[in-house]
Parts: sequence; structure tokens; C-alpha cells
Amino acid sequence: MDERLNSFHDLYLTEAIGSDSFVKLFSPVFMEHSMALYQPGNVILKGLQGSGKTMLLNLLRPEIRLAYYNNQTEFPVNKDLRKFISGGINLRKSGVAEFGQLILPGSSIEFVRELTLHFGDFVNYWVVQDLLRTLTLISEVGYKTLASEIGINTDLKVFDKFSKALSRSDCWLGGLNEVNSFKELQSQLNARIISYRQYLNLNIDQLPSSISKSKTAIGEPISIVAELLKSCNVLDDDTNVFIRIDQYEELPSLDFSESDFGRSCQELIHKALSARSSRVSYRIGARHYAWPEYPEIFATTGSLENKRDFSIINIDEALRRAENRKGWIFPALAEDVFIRRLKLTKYKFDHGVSVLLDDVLGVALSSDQKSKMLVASEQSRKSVIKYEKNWPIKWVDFLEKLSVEDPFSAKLAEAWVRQKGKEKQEPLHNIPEEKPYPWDKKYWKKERAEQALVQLASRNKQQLIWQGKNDLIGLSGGNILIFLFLCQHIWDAWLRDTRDEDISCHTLPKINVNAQSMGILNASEEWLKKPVEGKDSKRRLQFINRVGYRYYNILVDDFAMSNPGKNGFSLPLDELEAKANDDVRKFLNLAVDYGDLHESVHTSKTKGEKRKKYYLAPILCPAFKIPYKHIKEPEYMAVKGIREMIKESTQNKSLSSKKKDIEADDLPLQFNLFE
Amino acid sequence: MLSGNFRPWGHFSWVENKLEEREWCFLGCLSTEDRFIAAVEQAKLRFQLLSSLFIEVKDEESEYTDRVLEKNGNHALLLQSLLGSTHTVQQLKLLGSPILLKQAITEFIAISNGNIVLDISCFPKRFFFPIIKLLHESDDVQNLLVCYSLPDKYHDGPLSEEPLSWSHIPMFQQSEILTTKVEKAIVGVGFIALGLPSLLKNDYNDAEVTLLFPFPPGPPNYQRTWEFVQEIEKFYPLDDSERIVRVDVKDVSGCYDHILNLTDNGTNTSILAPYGPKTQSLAMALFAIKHGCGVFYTQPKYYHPDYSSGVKFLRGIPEIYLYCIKLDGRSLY
Repeated sequence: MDERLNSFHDLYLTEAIGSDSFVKLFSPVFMEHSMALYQPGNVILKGLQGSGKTMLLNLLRPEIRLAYYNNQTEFPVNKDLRKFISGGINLRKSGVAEFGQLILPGSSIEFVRELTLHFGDFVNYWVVQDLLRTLTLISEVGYKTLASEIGINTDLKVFDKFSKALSRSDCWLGGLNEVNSFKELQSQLNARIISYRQYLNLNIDQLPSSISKSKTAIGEPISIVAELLKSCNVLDDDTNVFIRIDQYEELPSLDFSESDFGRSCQELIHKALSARSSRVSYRIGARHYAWPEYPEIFATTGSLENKRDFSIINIDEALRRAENRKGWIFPALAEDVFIRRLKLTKYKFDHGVSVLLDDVLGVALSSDQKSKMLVASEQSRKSVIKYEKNWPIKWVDFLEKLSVEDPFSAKLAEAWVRQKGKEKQEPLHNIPEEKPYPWDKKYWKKERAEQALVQLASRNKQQLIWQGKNDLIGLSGGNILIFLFLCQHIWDAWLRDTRDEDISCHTLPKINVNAQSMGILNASEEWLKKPVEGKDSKRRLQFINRVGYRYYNILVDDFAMSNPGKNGFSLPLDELEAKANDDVRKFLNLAVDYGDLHESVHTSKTKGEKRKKYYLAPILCPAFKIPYKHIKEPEYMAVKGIREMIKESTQNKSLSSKKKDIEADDLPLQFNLFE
Repeated sequence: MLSGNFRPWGHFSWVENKLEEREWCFLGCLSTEDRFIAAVEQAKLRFQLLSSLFIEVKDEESEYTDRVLEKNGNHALLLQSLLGSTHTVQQLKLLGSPILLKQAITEFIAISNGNIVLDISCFPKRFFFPIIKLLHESDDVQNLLVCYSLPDKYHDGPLSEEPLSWSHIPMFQQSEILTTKVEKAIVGVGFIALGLPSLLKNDYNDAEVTLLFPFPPGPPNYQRTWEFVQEIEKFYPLDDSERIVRVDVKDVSGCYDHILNLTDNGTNTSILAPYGPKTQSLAMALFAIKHGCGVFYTQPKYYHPDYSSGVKFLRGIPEIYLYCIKLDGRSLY
């Protein structure tokens, strides 16, 4: 029986693994980019699903701190930043969406405002309760050393003293009765939360008047808790108190019955941050566009300012490759995660971190090698070139011979002669006789290599070949979840491919090209199904399909390879930001937020013009048989064109008819050599 | 029967024959599905119907809206010809406030004679879960029957689209804050996973997942339900074969007992995810009402207008099942 395991099958979502596994699998590689999380000051942690937001926030949670302690593993935060406690709320899991459901069509503005204040009160009580839970967990017998490292006094008498002082604070506006013990305090907080949940569950028709009359101001009790923890000697003066608010992106969706409830809740959260209290610092986990450009503050005309009121950690930006490869940390993170997975599944190896992926996946194939695999037989090689009837016979003979010897070079030669022949007649009659041929020039070749492979695969009805560390890292697009997803599928394909072979479950695999390519294609097709989740999912999926097929058709039909960078589009920024184009901008933002598209600033070929460029997420590219690399200029488009594409994509036009449309309207002209 | 409770259920006519009460009020869903009317036709034939309320659920706007309106319009005429003035149709938005649903049900209970037949065949879970809870918990409802009609066939393509985030079904959020980890996650296996696997993995990684597999599914459902399992497996490996429990798709009582067993008589901290057949979901709803556990779902924004078509017949009579939930003011669950 085959006992080999897929190291990536279970636990592939690192953000949600159990505490003990977290310790083994958490990679500290990103830590240096996220140090702001462990220092005073408000931080907005932005990232896509699976980018690791929750994982980084989890490092603040007491359960994870205890797990590191229990496993006797060094906590991956700098020693001088380890003095902190945290409490928090996950806006989705805590059920705050139910607040919005209480709004009826025609509900008065006053009612919505009252409900917003109740939301703030609920958040206060929940977070304070969670802070107290943190103290309870870490002050348990057996964690004295850890408590001391954090700066927690575990003497129950000081807990009680703190509880009494807190219950007497004005910040509760009469919502708490005076208590004598920590337990009593927890029980009162809990009772209030239960009342809220009963109300939200419609088990009671209205909240007790004692709650309605004692709504607290957002952030205030939290701040007082932090202050009293220190003044009552529960916490050392220099112990930081961090408040985690995760799934902030839930809030904008709470605008029920055409109210502004969700936006008001966002503004309320901003209000908590606006206090810029030295006592507590907030950490907000949010998708990119959920966090507004101008975060307005509830009941004021002001808004929060970046760098003054908060700083931003953009995980995707930090992990995605910039124009320059230098300083790109994702490959190191991926290697580290890879090695941890393999160790956990008991593969035996003694390789250094930087060579393990190469060792398992093998050396990356050159375009030339890939082309020979794509068109292996002599017969198939003869059909890689699309000859024009009016080409001189000597060119046809030359290309036919070259395509058998070197199909990759022949494909480039075909493009070269189509391009040059358009400009002047001379190249058509003078065949280059010696190597290096003009189409072997370094950049000319490099810019067209991917497109040549797309065309070779298409002519021969083959899938593209995806293989090696660079493809794996590149297709991951800086997202560790996608990296693991790809590994999972490669591993599955390898296990299937070698099921009859006698391979020890401890032997480090050498995964062949076919298994890698198949695994990656499967992963891509699976990932393509994913956008059917989330807001406007159907339209997004239809649009993705349209974009994918559009660029496949463009790349395949552009025999002259005049536009090898057309696997994405670019839009002028001023047009995109115009009010009249809100619909398209919001739609593209949504697609970017869900990771369907990758967006970046585009340096226009027109001097001074600002543009944004958009590409399909690299993981989706194998499913559409298009390259994930961004070479040369993307397609320059107007917002109107994208609006049209969005519209068309929802009209379920068949792909063949779309292909005709593209050929007729949008494709670059196919040059006739003898025009 | 594992719990020792006798909970009568079976074919509509078989159960109806054994009931003393003859005057009932009927609560159903006016929908695009042909089966929406099957149960009320039987009820009218066999009981004296005092009043009926039909809720027409308005999905979010979609490409199907016109077709839904047309089908619902035709079905409203059918209802009118069957029930005349003894019925009311109330429109409620699928994603509207549950308060409006609560108001409608409370008013219906108030005008009823305390004997209510609820037809869950065409109700979205977002509706029939709260309805069951309100009827079950109302002291004014003395006798509660739930019926379910089988369709002739389901639509081949997606039955629903654009699922929202994973969230509680209204009125089914646990009141207590979960300070201990969720021990059991019980998932009803359906046709479409609607993003469930990754959500399970995200939020309840520590929980032991059990899939309630409707059995026998019968072709073509067989393939779709296994595809659902496969989808979960991809994201959430099921460690052993015991993680898939086969339950009789029609046996609400048996399914309820299975859930009781899986949760150590309801003492385990559990969450439920009803993606399976309505009857299985009914058992989940009843369990959640009794044990106060959370029920989660990724609510679609709209359903396909051809969700199902026709009514299944067995030996010439429509295949409709009737379940006794409350009799003489006593809950059987």
C-alpha cells in the first residue's frame, strides 16, 4: 500500500491551523516587514484572501503565544517587542451582520443611528471581554515565566482590584454594577453580550432599557481597561495593549434597506482609531478596497490620515514581485514554507533551504527545451508554421527545415519575417544564412519566447508546459495560499503518476515535468472555480473568462508577435477615476479585492500620462493557456472598452462567436507580406 | 426512535389518517417550483383548511427575475383557483430583515386555530429555519406538522448563484460566546458546496467534521452529492470513513437521532451547516432549536427559476411526506 503523503493536502491553509501546528508551520520570513504590528500605533493590515492577514494577527493571540511557550519554540517576534497582550473581535464570526438585519425599509435615521451606537457598544464589550480572557489564559498556573516576559502580574488580588476599579469607571455610563472580583466582572460583561445576541437572534423584541440607556462610546472602555490594567499593577507600564479587528470588509456589506449602516459602523471603528490613544493600538485586518481612501470619523467632519493616525502594511504589495526582482522576499518565504511542510510529513533530507525546490522540481527548462516537448515528432514540427500562399518558396523551404531542427527558432523566424516583411521587401528575399539569426537577438527573443510557446502549443493542440521553481513561484503571484495550493496539486499529480513505483514515503521526490505541468493545470482550473464565491461573483467569473479567452486569442492570432505583452490591459487613470466611470472602477476594484485581477501602476508610453494596468491573477493563466509573465506593453484600452467587455461577458456569447468578434474588431491587423 | 420518542412520519395520507385534528391552517411558499402546490392540494383534500398563508420570496435582481415573475404569476393563479379567498400571499425579500418574517408568522399564528401544517418544500433555508423556530416555540401552536414534496427532477445546472459570506441563518446564532473550541461541525451534503469547504477550514479547523450523506441519493443526485463530498475533501481531508454518515433522506427523526449521537446527546459544542436535502435540514433546525447551537450557511442571492420541475409520484399518488413535530402542545423533538 502506498503510504506516501501529500505534504500539502491537509493544513494547507496556514491561516487557520491549530495552535501547535501553527508553531511548526509559521514562517518568520515575513516578520521583518510586519514589525509595525508589534509596536505601538494603529496598523491597517491589508491583503487578499489567503495572503496571511489572519495568520499575522493570530500571532498576537494568547493561544498562539501559549503554543510557542508549550512547544518550547522561540516566539518569532523580536525580544524587545514581546511585551504585549491583545484582545479582539472577528466581525464576521461575532455575528455583527445581524445588526444590519434589524433595519427595515423605512426605518428612521434615528433608529439606524441608535443601532450604530449599539454596534459600537457591542464591540466595546466583546473586545474588553476578550482582553480579560487573554489575561485569564496567560495568568494560569504554569505560565509564570511567560506572564513575567509579557509583564502580567498573576496575583489574583490585583485582578480583583482592577475589576472593582473598572466597574466603577464612568466609561460604562451605568452599564456595569460595581463588582468585587474578576469573575464577577467577566460575568457581567458576558451577560450584556448574551442580551445583545438574544436581541440579534430575535429571541427578545427589544433590548433591555438598562442597555439602551448605557451605550458606551466606541473605544473608550477599551482605553480605560488598558489604563487601569497598568495603574492597578496588573500590567507593567511598558506592556503594550493591541486590539485586533479582523474581517473589517464585512462592514460595507451591512448597508441593509438602503441605509448607511455599514458605512456608519466603519466610521465608528475609525473613531476608535482617531483617539490615537497611547494606551491601546488597533490592528485592523481588511481587504484592499474595503479600507476607504478617506476613512471618515463618525459624527465629525474629519477623517483619519495615513501615517498620522495609522500605518498600512500591504501584504500583497510586499510579497508580489516588483519590476525589479531585487528585494523580492516571496521566493524565500515560499522556500521556507515548503521545507516546513516537508519536514512535518517526515520526508528525509539535509538540503539547505535555497535548493530544496530546485531539487524536487528539477532545473527549469529553457523555452527551446519546452518547444521540443510541445512538438516532439517531425511530422508535428512541420505544421508549426502558418505559411502564406504568396511567400517566396525559399523562405518556405528554410522555415520548414528550421522547424524540424528547432521549432522554437522557426516560430520566432516566422514572426520576424512577418514583421520585417511588412516594413520593407528586402528581408523577404534575403534569408539569413548564419547563426545567430536576427530573431535570436537577446531581447527580441526574450520578449517573444512566451508567445512563441503559446502559439506552438496552440498549433499542436497541446497544453503549455509549467515546470520548475520559477514557474511555481511566478504562478503563486506572491500569495502563499496559492503557492501551497499549487504544491498540493503537483504532489497529487506526482502521487498518481508514480503509484506503481516502489518509492519510500521518506524519500524526497523528484517530480517529473509532466506531473508538474498536470498538477499546475489542475490547480489553475480549480482556482478558476473559486471566484464563484463572494460579491458579484457570477459577473466576476464571466469577466475573468472573457479576459482569459480574449488574450489567448490575441496571443495565438498575432502571428507577427507584434504585441507580445498583450496578456493584460491598461487604463488611463483620469478616465478610471471619473465619476461617470464609477461602475467600471468599482467592478475592477472588486475583482482586484478578490484576487481575480492584479493591478499596478503603469508607466505610459505617452509622456506624463498616468495609467493602471490589470492582469489576470497568475494562477488563472494556465487554465487559459496564456503566459503569467508581464512582458512589454499591455493592451491600451479605454474604460468604455472594459465596460463593453463586462457587458458582453454577461451575455453568454459563445466563445467561437467571441473569437470572431476579436478577429474582426480588436486584433492587430494581420500583415500581408506582399501588400 | 433511538431517543425513545415516537415521532410519527410517513406518506401524507398514512399520517393524516391517524390524526384526530381535522381543522388545520396551512403555511407554504409560493415559488417557481411546480411542487409548491402539491402539499396544499393534499391538505385541502384531506383536512378542512381554515386559512392559508403563502410567502412569495423575492430573490435579488438577476437575469432570471423576469422568468421568476412570470412563473410565480402563473402559480398565484393556480393557488387562487384552488383556495379562493381563504388564502393570503405575502411577499418578502429573500435578503430582507427577518423581523418582517417574524411579524408575518406571528400574525399567522394569531389568526390560526393552533394547528399548523408547514410545507417546507420550496422555502429557502433562510426562511424555513426561522419559521420552524417560531412555530415550534410558540405556545399558541398546539399541533405542528411539516410536509415535504419530492420533485420529479432537479435542474441540471447550478440551482442557486452568488452565495454571500458564511453567516448564521437568522435567529440561529448561538447566544453564548464560544469560549471553548467547536468540537463538531456537522454538514448536510447537498449539490453545491457554495464555498463551504474553505470556510470550514478557516473558522473551524479544529472541529471534527461529519458529513450527513443523504442515502439513497439515486441517480443523477448520486454523482452531484459525491462531487460535494469530493469538494470538501479537497479542502478538508476527512480522516476516516466514519466522517461520512449515511442517513435516510426521508427520515427526519432518524437524522435527528444521528445528530444527537454525533454530538454526545447535544453536549458537544457544535455547529451545523445545512447544505443537504430539506428534510435533513429540518432535523438540523430542530436540533439547533433544542440545543442552541449555531447554524451557518452561505446564502445564495438568487435561485434558478427551474430549480425543480414536476412532482414525483409513487403508485399514482404524489410523493409527499408528513412529519409530526408537535402534538397536543408537546414537542416530539
